[in-house]
Amino acid sequence: MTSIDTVQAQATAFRATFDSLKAEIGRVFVGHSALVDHLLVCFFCQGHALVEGPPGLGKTLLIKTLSDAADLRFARVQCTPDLMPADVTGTNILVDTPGGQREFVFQRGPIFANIVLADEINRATPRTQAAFLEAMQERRVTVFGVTHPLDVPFSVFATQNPIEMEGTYPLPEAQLDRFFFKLNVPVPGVADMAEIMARTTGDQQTRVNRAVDLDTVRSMLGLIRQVRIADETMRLVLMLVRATHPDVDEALPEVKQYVRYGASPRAAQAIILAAKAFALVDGRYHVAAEDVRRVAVPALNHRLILNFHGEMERITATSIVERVLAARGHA
Amino acid sequence: MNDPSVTILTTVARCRVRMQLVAAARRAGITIPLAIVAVELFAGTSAVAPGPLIAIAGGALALAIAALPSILRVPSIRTSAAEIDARLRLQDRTVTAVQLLDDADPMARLVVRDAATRLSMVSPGRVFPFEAPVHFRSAVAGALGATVLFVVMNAVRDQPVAPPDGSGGIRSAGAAQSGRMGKPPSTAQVGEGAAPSAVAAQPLASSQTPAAREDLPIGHESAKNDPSGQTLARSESATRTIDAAPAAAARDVGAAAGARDSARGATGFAARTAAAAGGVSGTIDANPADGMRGTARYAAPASAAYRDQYRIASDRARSAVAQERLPARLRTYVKRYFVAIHP
Repeated sequence: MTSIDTVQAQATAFRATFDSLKAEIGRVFVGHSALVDHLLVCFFCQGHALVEGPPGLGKTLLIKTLSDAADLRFARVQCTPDLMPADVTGTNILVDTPGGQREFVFQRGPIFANIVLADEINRATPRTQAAFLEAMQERRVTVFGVTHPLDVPFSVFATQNPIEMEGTYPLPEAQLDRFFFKLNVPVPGVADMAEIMARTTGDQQTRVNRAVDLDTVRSMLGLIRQVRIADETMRLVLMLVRATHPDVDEALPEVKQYVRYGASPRAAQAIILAAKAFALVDGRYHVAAEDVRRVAVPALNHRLILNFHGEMERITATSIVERVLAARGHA
Repeated sequence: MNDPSVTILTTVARCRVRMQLVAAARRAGITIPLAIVAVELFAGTSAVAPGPLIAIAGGALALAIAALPSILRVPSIRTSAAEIDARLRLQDRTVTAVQLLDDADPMARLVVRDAATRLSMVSPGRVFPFEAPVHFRSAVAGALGATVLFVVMNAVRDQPVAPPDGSGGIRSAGAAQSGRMGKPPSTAQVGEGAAPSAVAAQPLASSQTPAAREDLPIGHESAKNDPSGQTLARSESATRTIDAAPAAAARDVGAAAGARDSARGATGFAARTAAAAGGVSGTIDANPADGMRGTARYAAPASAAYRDQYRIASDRARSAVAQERLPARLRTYVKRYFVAIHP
């Protein structure tokens, strides 16, 4: 088998895995196909996602179902104001050895999982939120001077409730930038609501089957980075990110008026990686402009910091990103 | 299966040529109607008659203007590939494959192979069909309107104009054309008699039959206005009757004959002969084309052969006029004829 055939087989397997995972999630989580796509792409790109939505829309269920379908180690951290960093990362505890000695042994925290659900992350204190920083960026945890690498794959899916701001600690911009995507969970439609009621209020509980094992997932992670992107498409991404900055010449009037800070180069990395994943899902070996269009909003909307005028006029970062996309002919 | 790289490059190159052709054709859809309007405008305002050469030159110029940008700005392979992707909705397959043609990476080879598969069935003519430009209808409508206006204006100008005295004179189309070309329209009516045409403008001795001679326009025998005539008259021993009375009428008839000759498409040379023969006060030294101001200025040939032939013919004519008994008006006619065709 030539290497071309190998890559082709891997791409086919990736697409099949993606589809089967999506189908399994769909057995439990009703509707929101695009949301599921973005969540899976974020996972396969080894990114972290901030899932935002009102309570009761299935955010936690969605993430839990993903870990179940992929046979991944799942950990959930319910963030509260009294949650300590050691509760997330783990800490050294004093234990008695069989020889009668006492020594410190590192007790792993919930961060040592393949998928970590940080539920209502904005309720944790900034100190605890900062505990996630190193883990999310460096994929390792340092406790008492000892660095512990995290498992592969590793993704943090944090949820937050946008309507309850009392007793919350909004995530700082530096931490927001570490999230690959910010996904909004909309209220389901009537048909989806009816389906949810039928599934959850009957006597039959839907169980998720394991669609893929951990080793298969690991083998697929590197494939996404092999997908090729043309210079023209790359330039489109860069111009898109650059156009979100209010102090550049090509910025739109809306950007100049309402945006304080634009997206970072990390946003461009996220867009390209996610676009590569979508290209594979679509059966291609290269990135197309429409892949960029597909991932631009979730990759950019949490990286745009609006100014006072924008917030006062209730301008959303999503609307700004969509305006930028429309101006570049990708509405 | 062919080499995917070759397939891609060949298809993109063919599409690029087709793109240029289509772009030129789109521009020609605007420039040609504009050229039609321009030629008509030129014909309506210029003194030069709009011949087929001007129309052909206008069309060629319009085509050249349409084709020039395509020749000067040849799109790159990448640009052409991007255009193919956009037309065929290939999701950037071609432009990516063009970039990866020399890449040996397996994923790159897959991209190239995928693009080649899609492009192998592509026909440039179907990808880039000929399309009318945006303002094509407006341009065609404008050209049609200008053409109709041009035809109507010509028809109006060529209509017979009744003289103020109501004599019902008819102005010939040729006279109208002469008027459009800058010559003041002749008020003379078409008289009987035929002026020599270009074909007939040969330096020969008088060979008309008596009947034809009677039809000839009456010449204006004026020794004062015709030095050669004076010379001729001085050299002759025979007396000549100078008939001044019909001079004015003869002048008018001769001018009309010249105008009619012009209407028949005669050259200025023939017109010149007619004018000279018809009593226009031309001299040898005067520019014979003055009478045809505004038209193309044709001069009598000045080659050595012509001069020789002219000399022989004029000598024969002179001796014939001297020996034969001819009416004075015919003598003058022959004399002026040779003045007109003087090399």
